[in-house]
Amino acid sequence: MSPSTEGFLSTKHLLGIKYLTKDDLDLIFRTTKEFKQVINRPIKKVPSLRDITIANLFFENSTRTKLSFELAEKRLSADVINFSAASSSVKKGETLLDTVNNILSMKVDMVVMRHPSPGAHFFLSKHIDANIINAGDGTHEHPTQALLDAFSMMEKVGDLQGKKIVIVGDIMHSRVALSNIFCLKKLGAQVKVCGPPTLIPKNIQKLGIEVEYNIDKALAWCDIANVLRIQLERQDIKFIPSLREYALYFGINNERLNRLNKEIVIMHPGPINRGVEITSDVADSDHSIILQQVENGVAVRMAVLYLLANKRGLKH
Amino acid sequence: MKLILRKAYIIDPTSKWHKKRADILIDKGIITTISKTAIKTKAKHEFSNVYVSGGWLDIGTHAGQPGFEHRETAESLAATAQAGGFTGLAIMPDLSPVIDNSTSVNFIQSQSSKSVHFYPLAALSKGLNGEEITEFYDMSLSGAVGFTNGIQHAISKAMLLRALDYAKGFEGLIIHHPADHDMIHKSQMHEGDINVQLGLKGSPDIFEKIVVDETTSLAHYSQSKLLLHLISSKLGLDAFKSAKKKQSNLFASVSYKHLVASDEDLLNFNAQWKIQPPLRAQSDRKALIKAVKDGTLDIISSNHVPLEKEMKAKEFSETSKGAIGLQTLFPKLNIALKDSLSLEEWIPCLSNNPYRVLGLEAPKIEEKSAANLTIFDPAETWTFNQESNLSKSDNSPYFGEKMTGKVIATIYNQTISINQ
Repeated sequence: MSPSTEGFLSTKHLLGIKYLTKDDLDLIFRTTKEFKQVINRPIKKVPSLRDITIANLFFENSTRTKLSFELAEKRLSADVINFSAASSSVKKGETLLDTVNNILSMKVDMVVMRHPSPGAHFFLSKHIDANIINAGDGTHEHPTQALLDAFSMMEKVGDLQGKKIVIVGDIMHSRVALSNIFCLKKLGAQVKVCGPPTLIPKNIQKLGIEVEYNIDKALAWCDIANVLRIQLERQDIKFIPSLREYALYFGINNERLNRLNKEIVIMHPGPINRGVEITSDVADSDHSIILQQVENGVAVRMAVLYLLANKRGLKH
Repeated sequence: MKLILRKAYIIDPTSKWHKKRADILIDKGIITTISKTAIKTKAKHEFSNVYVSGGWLDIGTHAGQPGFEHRETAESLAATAQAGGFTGLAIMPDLSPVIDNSTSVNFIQSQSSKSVHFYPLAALSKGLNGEEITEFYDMSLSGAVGFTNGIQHAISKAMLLRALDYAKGFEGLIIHHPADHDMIHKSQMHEGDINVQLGLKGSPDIFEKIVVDETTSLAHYSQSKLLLHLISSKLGLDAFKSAKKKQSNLFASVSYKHLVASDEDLLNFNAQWKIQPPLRAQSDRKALIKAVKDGTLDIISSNHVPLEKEMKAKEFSETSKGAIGLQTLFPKLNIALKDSLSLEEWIPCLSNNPYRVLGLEAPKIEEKSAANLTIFDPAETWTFNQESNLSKSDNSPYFGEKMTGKVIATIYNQTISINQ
């Protein structure tokens, strides 16, 4: 059974949130809502993408995003092939274009790709015909994460117009931060970023957001705090002296939250460095919607795959 | 062979004919007559209502031969340069082998074509290693016109000072690219409003200012002649301006790409615009144009960097920096500068100033002078495509674009080269 939602995205690919319209976002969220109902039924599978082949190309490690996409694809009845750089000819020096063209010559309709290089999906979109879905490109965007974050926020607090959201942590090395900023701004939210000045890109205010270096002030201001992982693997030099100092300086713990005279929603895209950016008691508390985010991830990805196939005239 | 230019508009600030229309007769490579009234003789080649200036000289061209013939051969370089209006190229030393001795200096010159002369810029340090100074004097006697460590190779302040001091003895020119070397290798583009949207590591303009400050301070301390090659930002420009007030033999160049484009052109991860120095903000572009107008910037350079296809056919952060540019320089500037600068204000940055800065005699549009001329028409249109591109490389953002402004012909060393 397919969702009753009808409509087309304005774009052939999902390269980033920046390139979606507000109408696109609304359509994705309406469709997500319907798929969320579907996956909570006893029979979770729909035939929408039957006979459609999707390649999951992961040139960078991933656990939850890859699982989430694969599950979304299988629940839509797509044929799925998986590729990871660790076991590929990339290590033998093959270029991205050659690798992808080789895979596409096996008649693949859609490509879900994670790649360490910002803009890799743009490059690919100029050379191949398949629909491309960005599952994270370096420090650029991670659009489906932002979509599931926004969807989870709306489930919790309703319309995001005027809502105050702070994104905490390593903004500079985070594709989640950038996609979240684009998405939340399009939905009318007020956005601040908070973290050590060395991890906040210069000129980020130009995206229509504010910067706050004091975590306690940021928490006191916001309705929702989206706490990011410290991306040690993407830092070519040390931007912070130690994780211990980071935890002391910016870590979200109950002591900090108890000082606020209100309740705020805590989010985290995972995987969590427990005791660094967030303590276990906060991550596992009622404030936290971290596990709902994971559940919504599958529904959002089903929606995106369904709508892009719809746009291309692929779906049944 | 005779050639007549009829009602040609002359751009040569050193000539009494500057900004005047006249008929010009060139015979056997000599400007024999310049006349306000129509020249009666007939010639095999005649062009009417064209513009003419001294032949253009590009400083800092990246060649391919020897060592990188798959990118550019001497022949293809001369062809693309001639089509772009250049009769001289001052060639960067980072070839393989490096131009760091008089034999290789002679070799570069021997590759000159009939229509384009190659002037070698010699390596400032042996093998560009940044450690041992090269034989400046010997190379200068052989024809090296400047000494530089190029764009990609770092050099210490002590080494730069030694080079400035040493070159002073024979008024040699040191050419230095004002960039922080860590940033060249670690950044992807300008740090500004755009890189933050693309998640790409930016190179802040403050580093350019710091290097301009440092290098001009060393030149002032040494009282030596210095060309800062490829200033790209307003901050760097301001630092250069204040240094120039204290020392007259400081010069600066700008890449034409920085006068026609900005970091906004990278919004769709267009790797053809990934160049060194990085394209800066629109406000920097405007400041650079103003600096051409007020004479702060002496030279406009093509920043021609040929690269094989594979260097650009990758994801953005894996691609190499550089774009070709000799053939598209004139038409792109012709349009981009139309509303802010007259041709008379910027053509001398190609024709007169490069010769002056290199300490060479500039071509002159006067009777009895040897004809070293570039003849162009700002209104003629053509398309830049695989057929018209004469470089062996095609790393240009302009493929398929219609160009307004064309180089009609060049004359150099008795050779008339006419572009179809």
